[in-house]
Amino acid sequence: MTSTDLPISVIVPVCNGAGFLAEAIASVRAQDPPVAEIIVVDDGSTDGSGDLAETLGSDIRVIRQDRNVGPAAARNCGITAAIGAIIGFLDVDDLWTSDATSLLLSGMRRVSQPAIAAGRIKVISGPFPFGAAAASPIMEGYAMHFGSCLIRRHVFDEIGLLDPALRYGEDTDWFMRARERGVPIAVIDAVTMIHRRHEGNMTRHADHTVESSLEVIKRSLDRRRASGKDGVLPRWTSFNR
Amino acid sequence: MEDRGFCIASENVHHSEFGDEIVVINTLAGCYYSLRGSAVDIWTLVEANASRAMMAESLAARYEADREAIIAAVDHCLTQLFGHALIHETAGANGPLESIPVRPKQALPEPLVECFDDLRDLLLLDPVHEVSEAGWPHVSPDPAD
Repeated sequence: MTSTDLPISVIVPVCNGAGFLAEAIASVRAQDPPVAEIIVVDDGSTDGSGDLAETLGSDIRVIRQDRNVGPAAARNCGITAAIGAIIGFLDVDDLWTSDATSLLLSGMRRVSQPAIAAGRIKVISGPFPFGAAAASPIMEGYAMHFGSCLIRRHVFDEIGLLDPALRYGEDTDWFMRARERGVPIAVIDAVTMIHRRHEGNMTRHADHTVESSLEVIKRSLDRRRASGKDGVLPRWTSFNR
Repeated sequence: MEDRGFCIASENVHHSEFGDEIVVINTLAGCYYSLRGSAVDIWTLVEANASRAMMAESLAARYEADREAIIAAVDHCLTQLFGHALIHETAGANGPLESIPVRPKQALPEPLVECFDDLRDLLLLDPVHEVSEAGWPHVSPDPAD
């Protein structure tokens, strides 16, 4: 367990991401303050990701799902199993910056008592396997992405878990639900997550991403109208105070 | 002027129809839009590369309204869509008018175009989430794939 008074459980969902796993775990282990728990949820991998996770250290708890059920269900499995009062996520091909938990926890201690702290994402590209030093930054910005955030556990009780019916855009849908409910958010003016983009994943699923964005937006508009709170939500960066 | 058509502005503008509403996103501007009422018909006609006159004719076949009101609705909607850089003019027009049913006629609904910028950061940054049947992320064995 960690010495911090805000124990963090980090959930790393993986499906056939063995080539990325060790680097992702290393970026979590490098945090100061350290995290209390690392949970790898193996979502039916066939490349040995689950077996590899078992060899990466006794501090890693591996949960195996026999069949692939998708990122939302895998994250939900991790949330349900986690012991921390604060939940973090890291997709297996992403990395936390070395000061991610420090920055995000400081954001959570703001007087507004934010329930979510979110940093910026830096998107980099490079040949696979990655060497962070060799990678080229593509862009940097805020996104509703679990990997750049820490979230107090009670928010999942209020907002609910992720919708497992969504194979794409499930995190955007969850964050929209949180914003519609007025969950206090601290936006941190610093990069907390690095997303590694490569030729294999850069454009292949762009159509699905657009389709899911349109569907998630429609869901949000319908919810806002049904609640009588239709209109524009505060912009993400407006929480940067 | 009247033989000019209209089309969706660019590959950065995407849309999907959900019954009585069309949701549009512009990944370059970082905004999304809700089109309701007769704006749904007009967007569909823009997609079909219709001219302004074709749009008015199509709406007149579907809705119970005088010609002036229909033209005003078309002009108002096109002005808004232009203003948001979602459409532009083309030299010619096509416009398959039979794509919209003509019976029974209903009262002409207002063309509603709403713009939202609360997803600006996300739309400008994404796509960053990749999922495939092979796993997530999917890693190509050949970087050139």
